[in-house]
Amino acid sequence: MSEARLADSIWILLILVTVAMAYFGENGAITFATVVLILSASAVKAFCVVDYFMGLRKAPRVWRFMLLAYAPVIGVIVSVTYLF
Amino acid sequence: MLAGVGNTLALLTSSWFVARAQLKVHRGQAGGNAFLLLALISACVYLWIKSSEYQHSAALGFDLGTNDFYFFYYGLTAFHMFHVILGMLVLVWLMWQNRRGRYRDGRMNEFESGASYWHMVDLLWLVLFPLVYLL
Repeated sequence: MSEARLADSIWILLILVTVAMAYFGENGAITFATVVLILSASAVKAFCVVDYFMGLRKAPRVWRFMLLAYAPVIGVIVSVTYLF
Repeated sequence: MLAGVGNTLALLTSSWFVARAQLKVHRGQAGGNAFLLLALISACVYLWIKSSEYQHSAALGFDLGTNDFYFFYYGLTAFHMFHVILGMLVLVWLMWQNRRGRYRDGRMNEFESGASYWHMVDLLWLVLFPLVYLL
C-alpha cells in the first residue's frame, strides 16, 4: 500500500473510532469499564497519529515511545482518579 | 457533545491533509499547498464550531465561575484553541515557504517541524475530547 493510501486508510479509521467513541459516551452508562474503553480508544487514535501522520514509525525509539506513551499515561492517570 | 465530535473530526481531517501535503512536498510533487489550504479550511471549521459552542454556553449563562467543570472546560479548550491559531500561522508560513521552493532537494526539516507541531495539537485534542465531552 502506498504512503498516501495508508494515510487515507488511517484517516478513515480515526473517523470511525471517533464516531464509535461518541456513541458509547452518549448511550452508555459511565462505568469504570466505559472509562477504560473510551480512553483506550483515544490511545489507539493517538498511536495512529504519532506513527502514521507524524511519521514516527521509523524515528529513534526514545522519541517515538515518548510520544506513544503520552495518551496511555494520561489514560491511566484519569482511570485511577476515576476509581478514587 | 456533537460540537466535540465536530471539533475532533475537523482536527483529524486537518492532520490528514497535512500528512498528505508532506508526502507531496517530500516527493517534490505539485499539490502540497492545495493540501495545506484544505488543512487550514478544516482548522477554520474547528474555530467556527468552537466559537459557536462558546457563544451557546455563554448564552445559557455558563461561565468560568459556574462550577469546576466549566472552569476546566473553558480553560483547557481555550488554551488548546490558542495553539490551533498558532498552528494555523505555522501552516500559512509553510505554504509561503513551499511556494518559494524552500523545501526542494530534501530540505524538509522546517516543513516536518511545522507539520509535527500541527499533529501535536491534534494529539492534545484527542486526549481532551474524551475528558471534556465524553466522561
